[in-house]
Amino acid sequence: MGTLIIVLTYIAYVFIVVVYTIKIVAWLKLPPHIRWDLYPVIHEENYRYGGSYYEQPEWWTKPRPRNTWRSLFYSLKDNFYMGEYFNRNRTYWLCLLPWHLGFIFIITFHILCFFAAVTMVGGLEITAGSPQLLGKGFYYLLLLTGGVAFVAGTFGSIGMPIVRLADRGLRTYSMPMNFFNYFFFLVVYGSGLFAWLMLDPTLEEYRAYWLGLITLTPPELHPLTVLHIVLFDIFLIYLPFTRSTHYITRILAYYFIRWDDEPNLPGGKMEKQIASLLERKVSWEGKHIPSGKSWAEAATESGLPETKKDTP
Amino acid sequence: MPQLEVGGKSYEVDEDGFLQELDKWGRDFAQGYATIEGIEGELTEEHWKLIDYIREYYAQFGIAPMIRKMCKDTGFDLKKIYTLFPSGPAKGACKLAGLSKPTGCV
Amino acid sequence: MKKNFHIDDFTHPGGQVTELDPAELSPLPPPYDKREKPPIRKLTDEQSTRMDASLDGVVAIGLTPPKSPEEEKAFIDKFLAGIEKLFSTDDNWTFLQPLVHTLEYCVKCQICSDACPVYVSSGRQDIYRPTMRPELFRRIVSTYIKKEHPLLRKIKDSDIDLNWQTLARLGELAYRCTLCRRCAQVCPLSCDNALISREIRKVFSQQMGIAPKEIHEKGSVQQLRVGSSTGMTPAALRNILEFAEEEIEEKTGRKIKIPVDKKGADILLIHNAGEFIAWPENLEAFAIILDAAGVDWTLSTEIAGYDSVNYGVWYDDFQFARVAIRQSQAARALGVRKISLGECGHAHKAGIVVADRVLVGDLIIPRESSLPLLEEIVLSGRIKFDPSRNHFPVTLHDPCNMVRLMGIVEPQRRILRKICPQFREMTPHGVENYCCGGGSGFAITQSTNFPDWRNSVSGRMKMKQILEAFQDAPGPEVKKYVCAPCSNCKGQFRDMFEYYDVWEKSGILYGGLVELIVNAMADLKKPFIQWEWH
Ligand code: SF4
Ligand code: SF4
Ligand code: SF4
Repeated sequence: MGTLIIVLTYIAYVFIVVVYTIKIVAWLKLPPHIRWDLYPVIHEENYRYGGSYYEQPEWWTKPRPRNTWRSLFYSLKDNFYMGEYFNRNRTYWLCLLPWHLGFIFIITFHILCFFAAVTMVGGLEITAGSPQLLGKGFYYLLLLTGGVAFVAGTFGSIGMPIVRLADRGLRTYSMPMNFFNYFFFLVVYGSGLFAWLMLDPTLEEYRAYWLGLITLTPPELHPLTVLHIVLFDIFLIYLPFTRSTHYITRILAYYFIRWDDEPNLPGGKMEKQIASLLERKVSWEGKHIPSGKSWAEAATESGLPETKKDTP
Repeated sequence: MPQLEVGGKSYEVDEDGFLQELDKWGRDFAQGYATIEGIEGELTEEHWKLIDYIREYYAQFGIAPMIRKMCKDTGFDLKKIYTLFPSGPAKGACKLAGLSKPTGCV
Repeated sequence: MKKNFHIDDFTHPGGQVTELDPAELSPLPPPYDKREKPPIRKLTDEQSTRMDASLDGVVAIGLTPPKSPEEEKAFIDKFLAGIEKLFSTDDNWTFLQPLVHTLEYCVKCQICSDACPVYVSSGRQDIYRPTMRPELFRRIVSTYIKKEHPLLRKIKDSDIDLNWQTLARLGELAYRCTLCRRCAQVCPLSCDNALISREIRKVFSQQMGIAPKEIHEKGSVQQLRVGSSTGMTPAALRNILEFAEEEIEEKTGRKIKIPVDKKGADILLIHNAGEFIAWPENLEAFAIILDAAGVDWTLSTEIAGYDSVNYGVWYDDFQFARVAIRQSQAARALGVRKISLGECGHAHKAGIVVADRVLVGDLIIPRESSLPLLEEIVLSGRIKFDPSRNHFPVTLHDPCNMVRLMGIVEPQRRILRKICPQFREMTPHGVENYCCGGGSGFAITQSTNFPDWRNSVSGRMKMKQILEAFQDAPGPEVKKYVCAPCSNCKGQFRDMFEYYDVWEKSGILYGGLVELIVNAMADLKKPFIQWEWH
């Protein structure tokens, strides 16, 4: 049993990292697109009211200061606070935020467990009464993150299906898979919550489990903790199949779509990229498009219907 | 393409009754259409003045004249045009003159 | 009564997916709360045989039903091949990344719905939700492009049964969104449902050759052939400019020669050619200001060089690129230093922002909005102003394309604050504004019953905002001015104000920004704004 969860855990972590990476790389490798910015653009000087560098006469002769930290903070902040939901649908937010906090905290909890285990190998004692300050710190931090994860996650998984069903619009756009997810995640969080409250109030078993993971010695655990760990591993493997990558892609979309206001200046790198994209061949079948020719050719001929033979 | 019966003849028009082929236009078209447009009786000299003006401008420049220019050159003010053609210069007068519907952001 | 809506309604042949009930439309303040007019005209029986109106009874494209099952199948197959092309780098590098992102990462949370003026104004009709088009699109991809396993489609609820009518409805539905992108702005996941409307339009145009006549055949095609989507030839342009010069002299006593095709001028000014025909006072005002400020500028008579519109930005990447290139070529031919765009929202976004990644080599000519230039002139003190001449209430409409889509927010406001003592904002405004309802080609889509829909549904929110901005003086005795620095928006206001009888009931006039500037010029004898031309 112990060996099984060690193997499963490693597989789960490797799997989620690999699949997430593949997904992100695939996203990033999509070709550069036409500008489609949307204001406010947060790195802009006048982001408060949504102003852009186009507000200045002869903008191409002026500096275009960019505040990258501000935009980074802005885009990350919402992962933890979900402002648009808070402002626009409070009830939904009340369930959605805990549901997301569940994710964030359960992952943080496990990462912390890993570090705790590392320090334990180094001789640190992690208990409430540990003589080392770090040991105490870890103890309470683990308790906090684990506790918040289980409670928030359970709450969210119960609340989400309820708000989804209560609202006409949300109901129309809900799919069976959504409800499966809510149920499955409820089982994951719920099993953790149960194990924590009933069997392992100090979360000692998790530390043992992680210690076992890094020292590759199968730990002795209560079956209910084992159940939660197995469920959690399945959860990790399942996550990449949901839309969960949106945590990262939404930020990429800010940078690469909404806030992508990089002008194409003569002689720049972008000009070269575009020139090469313009060489790509098109196959659209509308009469006004010369199928088989390149974008550059298609865009410079007039494409008037009468100049082309009618081939339906 | 929809067809429209005007004065016993059938014309090709667009969805909103604008004549599609300028060269099919004749005085009987304008007169016939006047009834459809709710203009009572025979078209008067003033009606014809405006219609002829619009047609001449169109023949020369390929578009309907600007309303302001139309007013200035014919001496009719906008109110007068609306009394002559209750649907107004574009939807009324130009339609009777056989022009197609204005296009672009106008 | 709102019936319970189901996605399958889209696939059932015959009937209408939604019946718009005037009683359900969002309320307008008095005296517009009582509707005397019939809301949306029904098609005639004859029209119904030729045009499909089975979405909501309204026609923007009006597809003709196929004559045989074979024809239907060919139509569907060709369409699906088009959808496939959207995912190819060769055919759609232009928008592939935003498209894929929106399709894959929307969580269907419906936050965007309440941001959409069309959805809200319609009385929250399900079919107008910003998420409706993407939903249908995703189902088509899942069922016919990715060919996912039926079981998986069941779990994901992503099944759809395509027939001709479903596609006809989808095509119409792509023309019930003004591409104002207010929905995209509030999306926590940076998804852009407006983009999906445009991608669907692209498949219809680039693959099927289907688009509203006003936008394609009479629009961009005509512009590339004649020089302007209005059909205006260079000769007509010269005739109009002569007239404008006469008018300027009559109104201001100034003799101004409007420069045309002046080689080596500093600025090539491109107006929306609609201004020349429908609102000549706008181009006159531009000429007066630039002349008074001593700017070295010119107009062009080249193809597309005197019409800044670029309808391609609404429906077709190729038509878009063609027009953008012609405009740059016109500037290159004159050897000007830069292009400045007059008061037209979509031309701003198309010409300055979107065209940016289409132009290469010597076609990259600096392009800018005329608003910052105007701001500089007005605030510099080069011209003397007497703001008391604009002693009437003024509010400002933000054209989405200039504001939300390119961040030009303050220059126009700084001008108005200086020359209009009774300037007041609408709520909300700036980047959070509502579209006028005429966006993405709607203002020029003038056929059949589409204008009824545009005036009563897509423009409704703006109508309400305008009335509320003037609620301190609602009656017609106080003349009021909506400043709309966009010809397209002005076209919408003209139609909508006529539809609701706004001049008679409320005394509201619409017009551009430069007209207000000239009206405030201290040394003019007569007011420039002529209220009688409402
Ligand atoms: S587009 Fe964005 S706001 Fe709209 S439903 Fe999808 S995720 Fe939610
Ligand atoms: S772009 Fe505007 S009109 Fe279109 S769905 Fe979004 S909010 Fe609605
Ligand atoms: S017409 Fe004007 S307000 Fe409407 S979408 Fe275009 S720019 Fe926006």
